[in-house]
Amino acid sequence: MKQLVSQSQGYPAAARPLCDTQDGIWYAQRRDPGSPTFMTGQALWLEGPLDRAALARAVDQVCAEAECLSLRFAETAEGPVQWLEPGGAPRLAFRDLSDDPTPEASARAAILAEAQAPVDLRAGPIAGFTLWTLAPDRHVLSERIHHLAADGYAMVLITNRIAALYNAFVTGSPAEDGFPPYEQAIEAEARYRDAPKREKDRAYWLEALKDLPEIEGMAPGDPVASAWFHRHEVALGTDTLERLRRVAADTGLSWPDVLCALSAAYTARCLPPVPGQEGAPREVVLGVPLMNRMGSKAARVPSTLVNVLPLRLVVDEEAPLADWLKESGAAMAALRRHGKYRGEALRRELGRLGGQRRLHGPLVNVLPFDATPKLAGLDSQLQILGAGSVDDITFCFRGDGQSLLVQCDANPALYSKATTRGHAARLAAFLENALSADRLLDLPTLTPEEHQRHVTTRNATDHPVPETSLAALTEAQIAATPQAPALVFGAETLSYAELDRRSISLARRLAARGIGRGDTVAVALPRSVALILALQAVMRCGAAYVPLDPEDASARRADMLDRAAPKLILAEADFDAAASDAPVLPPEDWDEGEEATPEGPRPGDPAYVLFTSGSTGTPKGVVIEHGAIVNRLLWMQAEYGIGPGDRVLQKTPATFDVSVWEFFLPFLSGATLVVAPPGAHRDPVALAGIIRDQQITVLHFVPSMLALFLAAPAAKGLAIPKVFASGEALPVTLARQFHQVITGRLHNLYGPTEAAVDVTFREGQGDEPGASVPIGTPVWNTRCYLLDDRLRPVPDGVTGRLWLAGRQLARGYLGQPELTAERFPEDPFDPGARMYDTGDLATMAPDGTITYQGRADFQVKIRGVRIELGEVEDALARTGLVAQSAVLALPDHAGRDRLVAYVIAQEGATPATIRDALSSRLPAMMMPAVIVPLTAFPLNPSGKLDRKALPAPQAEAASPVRPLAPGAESRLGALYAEVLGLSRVTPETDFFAAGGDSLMAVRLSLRIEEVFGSDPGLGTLFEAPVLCDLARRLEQQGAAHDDGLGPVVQLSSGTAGPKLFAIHPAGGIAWCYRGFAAHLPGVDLVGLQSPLLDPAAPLPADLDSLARAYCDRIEALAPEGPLYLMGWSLGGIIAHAIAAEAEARGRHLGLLALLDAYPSQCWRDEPEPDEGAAIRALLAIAGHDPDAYPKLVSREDILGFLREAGHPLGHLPRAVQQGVVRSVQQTNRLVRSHRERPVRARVLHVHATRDHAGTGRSPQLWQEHCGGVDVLDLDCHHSDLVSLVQIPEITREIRDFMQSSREDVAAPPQA
Amino acid sequence: MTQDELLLGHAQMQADIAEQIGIPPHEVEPQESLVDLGLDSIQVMTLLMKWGEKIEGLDFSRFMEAETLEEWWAIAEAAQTGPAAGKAAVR
Repeated sequence: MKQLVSQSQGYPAAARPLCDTQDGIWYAQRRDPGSPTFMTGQALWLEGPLDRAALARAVDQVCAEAECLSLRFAETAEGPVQWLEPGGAPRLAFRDLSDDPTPEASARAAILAEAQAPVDLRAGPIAGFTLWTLAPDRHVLSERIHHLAADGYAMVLITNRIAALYNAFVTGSPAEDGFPPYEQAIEAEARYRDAPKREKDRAYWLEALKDLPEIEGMAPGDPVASAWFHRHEVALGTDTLERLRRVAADTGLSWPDVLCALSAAYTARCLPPVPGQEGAPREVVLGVPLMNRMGSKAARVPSTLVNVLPLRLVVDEEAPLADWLKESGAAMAALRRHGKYRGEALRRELGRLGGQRRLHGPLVNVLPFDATPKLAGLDSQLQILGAGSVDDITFCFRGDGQSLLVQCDANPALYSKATTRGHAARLAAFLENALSADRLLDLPTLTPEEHQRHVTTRNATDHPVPETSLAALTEAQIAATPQAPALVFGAETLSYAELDRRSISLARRLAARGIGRGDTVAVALPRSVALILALQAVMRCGAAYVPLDPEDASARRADMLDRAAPKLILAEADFDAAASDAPVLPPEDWDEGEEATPEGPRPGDPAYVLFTSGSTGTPKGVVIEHGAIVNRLLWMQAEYGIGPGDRVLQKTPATFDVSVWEFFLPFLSGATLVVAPPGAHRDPVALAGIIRDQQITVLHFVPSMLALFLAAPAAKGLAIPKVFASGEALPVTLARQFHQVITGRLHNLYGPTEAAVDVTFREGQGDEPGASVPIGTPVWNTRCYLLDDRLRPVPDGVTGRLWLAGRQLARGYLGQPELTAERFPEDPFDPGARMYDTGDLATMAPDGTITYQGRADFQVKIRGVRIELGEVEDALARTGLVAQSAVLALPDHAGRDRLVAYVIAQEGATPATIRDALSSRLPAMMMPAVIVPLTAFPLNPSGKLDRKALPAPQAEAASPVRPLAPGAESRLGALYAEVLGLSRVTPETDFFAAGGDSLMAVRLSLRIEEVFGSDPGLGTLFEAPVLCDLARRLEQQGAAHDDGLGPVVQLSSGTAGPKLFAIHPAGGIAWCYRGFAAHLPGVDLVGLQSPLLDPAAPLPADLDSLARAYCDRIEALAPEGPLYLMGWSLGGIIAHAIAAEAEARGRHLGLLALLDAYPSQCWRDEPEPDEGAAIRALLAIAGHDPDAYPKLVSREDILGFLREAGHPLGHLPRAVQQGVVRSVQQTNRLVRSHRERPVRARVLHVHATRDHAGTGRSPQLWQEHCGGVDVLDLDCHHSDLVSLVQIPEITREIRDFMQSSREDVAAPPQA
Repeated sequence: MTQDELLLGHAQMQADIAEQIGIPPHEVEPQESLVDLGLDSIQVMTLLMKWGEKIEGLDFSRFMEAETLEEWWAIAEAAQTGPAAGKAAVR
């Protein structure tokens, strides 16, 4: 096996790379070095007279036999390595707790603490055994081994061996043989790696997984490993075991396979709904750990072999259960037949490395070999502490044939303790039911208690609310407080009595026009006193109002008018009623005409009709009755104590349902309504002024507007007692910010237009767990259900579709009975009542609190306004300019959602012409921010539009990508470019999206440590893979600021290995050699840079004096042993001059590598570069071929180009840029007057063959100046020699040279 | 003791394995990889439980280590005829 490291670096010669079985664990542990989650641990509780000496002997012997316990691990530039450290196994530790008042509890706590302590993989030991004495006849043996050394089965082997040896010692009988050597596991893996079976297995997997869908979890959020896990265990009854055996026998499956399949069926019940797939059989992708030992010589070797592979099962709930189990059994058998192929390899090959791109969902682990070891004369009990990392959730079944335990381990980042307990108990109940069911369809998901809680207890919201109308409530308030201020608009104030007089006057005129109960009146007025009077009057005459946007003159508004068929339009005189027959009555005419006594509304009459976006292309008119909105307003009045003294700001457009409580709540509670001027709702500064001047106590914000408002300095320090947020998810960070800026309380409300504005509520404190403030619990007389596709309630913590029922439901959609029936079906839990499908996804916490989780369809919200993407797509189609379109809501660079339309344009149409045509069809809020023309849409394997594969909209991006900022960002940019092999990086470059994998991440982190002087840790990189974010973190960490321009620059991590000095080329900077470090493991690569970079430095007289100065520096760093030198371009000439000087001082040269450098005679007659040419040399220094960019002439052009290319040279301080130019000119001058002194050493010349034809420059020219030339010809350009493409080839040669020179000079560390 | 007198014979083992996998006994060729034939560790466990009723001292992990029926038979035979064979249950 390949040996990677030598004794001189502190690793034993026998160190070797990790096995495939260990790689994944290594990188996961490396990401989070302090995490104990990879410690596997168990404890054996022993009752009875223990022979402690015999047990100690047994443990010590097992430590000697199980070589894996002596493993050590370390990181090298070539990757992680492992070795067996002689004497590196742990010894049994003894802890006596017999004097402890509560020995058992203390032992439990101490054993858990021990299991959660991380180990030092390099220093070891990586395992531990402790014997705890609780009482003379009560002991615990705790065991812990890092998962790199042992998997769960290895733990079983080791524990059983300890028991066997103990029994042999105490009974005096002979013990059987110990374990085979660790080597056997490595050999078994190597055999498989070279076997034809591996290729067959690989082909099987790639075929089986080629259309693997995105993996959804049971809990919302990304599965990122946590340090520990929640655990809950439930024992299955013996009758369940009996039934399990019977089902297994009937179906021909093994009982573990039956459990695995049924666990998949349970998992399917807990997955979030898929839009458009309602009711279809659900595919579940489980992770199934295979022991990977059977039929292998590694079977009995304590080591880590377990292999987690994805099991795809389509859960057909309608099929006979036995049939479905048989089908699943066949899938599991196929998986096992190809079970040696590593899951980690599949992750890499399929790009399923974690987060949202993972290979499988929950793990199902059936462990039938967990018989508790028996110690002679003792009763024993086995406790499993940890068995590896829990990224998501693991269902583990532990059994020994007699009993069976369901163990549910869950990642605390995704599951609460209560949810974990719920899954364990529910899965156990589900299994028990399933084992006597004919079809999965017949099984409930919830236990009866859970069902009762979900449907009834949490919806116990009954509250007496009078059967009345808004008009009656308002009139009662008018009678109670006639002189109180009712309405303020600008300088105008109306008392309740005046409001009454003017609104009833208009109502009487409406009545005289024959308008009354059952009619609609359109209202299209800007915010004004007239708007308020219009709404009051329409309501008081008994009609329903239909608000329309006065500024929207699109075809969409005309359609709404047409369908609402109002009797009258209250609008300005110039209102364009389009095809509507209804007359327009402008405010100036309201005091004229006949009057009649209005009848007024009844509780069951419609109060208003609000249009919302419709997915089929036309807006839907939602009809809300008085009884519904009365419930909502009286609840709010009572819940928040709104009444006289409150000043409510009206700023929400009337077309948005939030405005309904702003308009009507003040007048039925005795508060004052303050109407903001038109347009003010978009202007934070104007708003702050109104809030302060008008002493507003109640107002509403859509969260995205609240964010803008809080960001305005004018908002700072305002006192607003009651602020309501709704319309979008309320981020917890925003709630926190609110409390930093505003004195007051923030209430999060939720509800669709179809349920009278809001149906749930919750205060936002800013300290809620999770990303957004929950939407809370239902208001009065309201029920919330979270249901799956088959209308079964989902468990707590699981995403379901939110359905609403109760008094606030809308009557339905105006003129759309079919749509109404579809969205308002019968409530299955309350026969005779209706419920409404919100299409929203949500989860319920164990306390009943609901949290919004997104949409189940293609409805989006832009700045709080509900938009059906289908309606925008339909409008695009109607322009006739678009053959096909897909509209998405995507975040812009600031993270705010905007509409992006992808179109296949008809011939001749452009985004601009499409936009023009669209603007007459849609109001501004529904217009796409970006129109992206495509020639074809990406399709998924089933031929449907693959929305995730649509390109990010860059063509029309509002702001161009900014160049890298100087400082950390530029330096980090260079490292990204180097590690990823990219020519251009931007501040937005995402390390992983740009092709980085785990190995490259380790390399980047090592390079950051070298360059920044501090290691941010892989964890930081995984958290902040975007360049500018990571740069910011590095700056925050106070990384040492080495500008990398000093005379010596450290290019590798400075281990104890031999130093290789890389001499700067003409520009004086040695950064071009950075890429070499990664390919020279065990070599300390040091760059020498020109003193000329400092503008104050004196000019050297000649190249030899410069070489002497460099030689001094080198000798100071490498006082003895052979010297290793390399130089590219003119740096090669300097390296040669240094070599001559060093030999004159009696030093031996171990390497003189000249990378495409030619003796000074080649340059003597060439003109010296002028300043222009010197500046252009910056291009070459940055690794670009200057001849490829003839137009880049001026300093600004060139520096601008380098900045844009993401090269740190573009960000050098101006003085240093001058220094580089100075260095180019002076070095060239020195070279022209230089005469090479002879060198005895041989030269390794790397010859870039493409640039020197016909120039007379040849490697052989060095012949006369050295002891011989070895040439490496590379078919490339001069500038390519420092590129990542050529570096591996060059460094291979350099390594060989250095190796052979060391063998010549010093005795090799290992013969 | 001849093979016929053993509590667990070669033919019996072959038949039991075949039954577990669901193939005719003659397809369980003595030198064929049992994993490739489709046998899994749970089935091994089941077989050992069945055979354990006839003879004691069958070590699961030894069977796991072996790849073929031929190797399995060697283990089973040794358990019945070797020094530990006295432990074989008498029926």
